[in-house]
Amino acid sequence: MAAPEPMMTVLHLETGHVLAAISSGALAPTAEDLTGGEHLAVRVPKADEPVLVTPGLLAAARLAARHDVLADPRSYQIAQGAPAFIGAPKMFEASGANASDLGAVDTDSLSLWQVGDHLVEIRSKLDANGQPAVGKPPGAGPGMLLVRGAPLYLAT
Amino acid sequence: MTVLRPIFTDGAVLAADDLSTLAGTGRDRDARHARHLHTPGVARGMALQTADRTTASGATYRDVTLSPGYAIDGTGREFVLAEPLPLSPDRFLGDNPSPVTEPGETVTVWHPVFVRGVDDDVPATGGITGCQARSGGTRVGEDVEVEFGRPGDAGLPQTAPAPEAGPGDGSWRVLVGFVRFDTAINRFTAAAPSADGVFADAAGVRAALVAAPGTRVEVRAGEAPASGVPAVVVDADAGGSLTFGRHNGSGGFASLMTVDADGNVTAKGALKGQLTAGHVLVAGGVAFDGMVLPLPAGVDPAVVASGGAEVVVHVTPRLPGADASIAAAGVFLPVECRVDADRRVHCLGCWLKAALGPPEPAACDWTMLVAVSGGGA
Repeated sequence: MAAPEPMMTVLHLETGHVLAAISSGALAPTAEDLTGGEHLAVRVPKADEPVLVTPGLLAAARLAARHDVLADPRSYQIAQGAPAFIGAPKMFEASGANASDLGAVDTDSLSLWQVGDHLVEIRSKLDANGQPAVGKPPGAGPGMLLVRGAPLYLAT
Repeated sequence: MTVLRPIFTDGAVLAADDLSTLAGTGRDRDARHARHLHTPGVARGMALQTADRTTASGATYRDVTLSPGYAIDGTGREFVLAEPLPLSPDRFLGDNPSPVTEPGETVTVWHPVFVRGVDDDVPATGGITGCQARSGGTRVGEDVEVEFGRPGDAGLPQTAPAPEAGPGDGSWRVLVGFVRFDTAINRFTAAAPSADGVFADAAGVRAALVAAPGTRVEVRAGEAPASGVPAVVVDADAGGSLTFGRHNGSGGFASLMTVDADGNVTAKGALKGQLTAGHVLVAGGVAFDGMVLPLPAGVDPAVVASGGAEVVVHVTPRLPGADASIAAAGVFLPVECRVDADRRVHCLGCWLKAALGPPEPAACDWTMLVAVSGGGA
């Protein structure tokens, strides 16, 4: 009898961006299991605190295990049920010569901002500069900006 | 009250009461046996059967019939139904003038169907009577009638008679199933042996001991050992064994689990359930920073939280780029790799290329052992 195919579970957002991955043998953990029912801690470089993504925003997908995804999950997006490489996470620049261009105007975007103990979700369209029309909320700490097909953008 | 039995002497003149007592003695004894050694319910047949029908206007409904069978009630009175008994929509509406319907529908929720006993006087049939004989029937028909309850009636308690009493008057109700009724066409639409987790009463046995005259006792879920029927067998042969298995329909019995005379358990399937002291369960794989490690299958988080199980986790940083050229990627230096009290992974490392980069989240290999403390969980 053939051995069962190794599987992994990836936690991804509605945009498909994978934030973490785990292989756990025959276990098929849920988003609740993998967040402890509280949050997934997503680190942001140069930020003192992580972004705490709540389980309600995450989906757990059970896929054939891939070492590249397990080692570097944040460089992948789930597209048509499979992980697709989108490049390593980038730091978001709101202005200046290196201002980030997340995509075409009017493209849907999702921004997640850590404001104290709370996570603030903002859904907006991209403006003509390729940036979310709604910016960082007052008092916000680190965050993530997500557009389907674009790399995971992190902000301090 | 003391249980009495009639006795007779030569030359005595027998009154009708003496003969009635004689007849009642056996009937009472049978009822006491049935009541004290069996639980009430259907012993055979008495199932609700349906036949699809259509009204003249095209509406579908079902005729429901109670099949012939035998049951005993909680007084030990026997219910014998010799012929199929159609269920009457008029009786349903009589028993439930305003039945509860599903929200926004004309079809009712499930309503319980009971049988109960009825004594019917049977006219005398040409017997010879003396000049002082009183008129009246000489037989009583022990009939069965159907009664429709309201939702929730199936669980209502009924009063058991005194230990010495004979059979009841028929008012004890035995549940035989459930029906739905369409109030728009006043017809039944469905019948079932169970509803909302409540099953029709099935007659049972009150016994503290079941002893076989031979060497084998079998308990099976079905009268005939048909294919697939599960059974439990206690067999004194070969020192004794307890076996759970299934019949194959041709006289064979396939064991699924056996306990032999030495207590050895042989099972074809996996053994699952609550953990016992000394059990160690293992899980492992690769996990990324920030995730909570899942417990092995079968471990209750509440048991772990209460200290009923000890959790040991071993994590090792997993070097990224193992599938690529390390020379091209640089060298990855682990900074932190641990699991906190919530089993959340903290795994960080830095890339050393031309210079040391900032800490980045990374993956780790993990192994978790969960050992159940003494006393079990």
